[in-house]
Amino acid sequence: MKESDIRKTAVFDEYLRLVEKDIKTFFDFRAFVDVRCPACAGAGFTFEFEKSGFRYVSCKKCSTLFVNPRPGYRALERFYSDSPSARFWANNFFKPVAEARRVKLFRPRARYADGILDKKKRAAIADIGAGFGMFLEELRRVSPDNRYVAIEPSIEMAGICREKGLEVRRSCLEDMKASGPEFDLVTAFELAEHLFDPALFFKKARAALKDKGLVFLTTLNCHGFDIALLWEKSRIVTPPHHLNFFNTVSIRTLLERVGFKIIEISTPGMLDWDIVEGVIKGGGPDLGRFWNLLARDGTEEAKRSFQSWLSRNNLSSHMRVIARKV
Amino acid sequence: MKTKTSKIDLMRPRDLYEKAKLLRERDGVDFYLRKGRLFREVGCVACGSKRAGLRFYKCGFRHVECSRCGTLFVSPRPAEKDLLSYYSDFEAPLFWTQVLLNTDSERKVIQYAPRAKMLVDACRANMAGKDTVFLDVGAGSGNFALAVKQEDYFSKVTALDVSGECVSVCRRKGLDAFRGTLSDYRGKADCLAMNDLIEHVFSPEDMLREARKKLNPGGILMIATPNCLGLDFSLFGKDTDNVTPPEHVQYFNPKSISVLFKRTGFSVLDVSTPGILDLAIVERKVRDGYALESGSYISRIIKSGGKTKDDFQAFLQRNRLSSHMVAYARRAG
Repeated sequence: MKESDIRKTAVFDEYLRLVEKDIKTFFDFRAFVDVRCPACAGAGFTFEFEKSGFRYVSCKKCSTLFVNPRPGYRALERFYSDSPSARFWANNFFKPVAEARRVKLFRPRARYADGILDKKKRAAIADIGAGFGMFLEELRRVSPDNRYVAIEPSIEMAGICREKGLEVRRSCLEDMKASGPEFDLVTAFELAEHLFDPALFFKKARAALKDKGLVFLTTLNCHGFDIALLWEKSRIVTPPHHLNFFNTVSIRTLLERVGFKIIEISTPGMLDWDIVEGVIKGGGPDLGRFWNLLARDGTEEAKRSFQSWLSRNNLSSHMRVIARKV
Repeated sequence: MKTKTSKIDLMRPRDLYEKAKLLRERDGVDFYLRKGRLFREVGCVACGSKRAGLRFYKCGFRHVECSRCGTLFVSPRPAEKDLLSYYSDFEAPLFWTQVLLNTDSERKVIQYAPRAKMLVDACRANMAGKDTVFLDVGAGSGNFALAVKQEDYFSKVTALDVSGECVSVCRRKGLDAFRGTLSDYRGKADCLAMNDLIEHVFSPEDMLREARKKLNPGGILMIATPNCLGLDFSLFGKDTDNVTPPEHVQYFNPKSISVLFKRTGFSVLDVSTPGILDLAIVERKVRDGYALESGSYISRIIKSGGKTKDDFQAFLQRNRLSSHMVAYARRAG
């Protein structure tokens, strides 16, 4: 898989330009809130860099990278529901690659989710931040009898989910009224990095899960190759969207802290090298001779085998986590 | 990575190694000051190209990189006789010979035994195995020749070295040994080995042509030499411990050693980088205070667990990115 399969460079550039504009209209830096480490709640941190006026710091205890101070929950919600860049993301960024994402991301993910479900009974599954509902659609194709609920705050995308015959709650999980434990599986894909208060989010997710229910999430790993190497130059490290970058240790701390037991933490990502090679070949900053050499003279086999080394050793930026409610 | 770390300390004992490094720097600079004005520019020692770009200076010596094949070499360089005089007139190379002689029993087990086995396997696969002669050029302690002898494949195993001391050491080990260079050797061989030799000589091209003359038709040449595309070269540049002018005056890579083989009448059989020490070398240097470029991902790899590091070393090996290269070629025609 290549980065361009799921993210068109020119469109991504335009999107980042719009975000830059929106930051000026939607955020009042004076109203930003000081927070503790979103993973371990530690108070000590080190300044890393500033990007578009947002300060990124890393936790002294668990090395989670996070924005601090950060915009409040309501400011973020307003930005996601009503900004030109959010609309551009849904219509111009996501739609053209939606089918590619269905095949390359959602389908394998649905198969994976199906594998961890208890097949003996009908399961209730909620996808938080369901977007266009593709993950649930794909899972429904594999296991049609389960109950599928899309939790999605955007009016437009919630409508699309409803058209697909999914049960929909148009809300953020944080704002949903507690309805007691009703799900066997709660999923949250590429969501944890956006959250104002991840601990609160996972507490809510836990409350919505039945006893021994599972949470399945994917998020960014700040120890992953492209992020750790490119750091402030990484286009994935972009405010105000990406506020929290956990790692394989700190995501465990977070989930255990709110009452989960970890089943799996892995980094099955496939794009790290492709992203870095794109930066090198695009005339980006000098990342060092060894990486230049691999980009310039490395065989396809060498590049593939490097990426698979990253994935195997929990060093890819794309992290997958399964945890059980205890 | 406990095993690899201890291996590096066995093969490159810290205090001796540090002393050798300082002596080399002192003698390298001294040599340059005495002979530098007599140095002559040369074309690429692998492909002959005249186009090369400056990579760095070390102890005064200008190191350039061939624009065509990527070989790293010293140019301008000392004349052949001056280069040879370095080995008799300066302390550093003599001291280093002692270090090698002292650590060679460890090398034998870790490096030479598997390499000798590989060599014999390559010979078995590529030539008829009757009344065959093996010649180790620059045999040093004789331990590699001994490892080859133990494989019990060749009918005759001979060690050749320019140092009288090394020849005596070889003879004490029961090897058939001669003092001299390859051109001094009067016989013929079916297999020639050059371990850590070609990086030292004024003209690798001449040496390989000479090797071809000494080989019987279809004979095999094995060369073990540093790979300038290896991890430490990429990370440390001129501070790579292996960059030791005027002892080493060139560093090939898998592509350029193949080019040189072809130019000198050999057909390439195999080029690999079976090195096991790259990460351990980097790790030790960083532990001793060398600052890697900030943000370089390598520092994270060094801090990771043994399995992750072993797995990365295996990646380097497989993809010819280790600094230790072994190349096999057969005499063409």
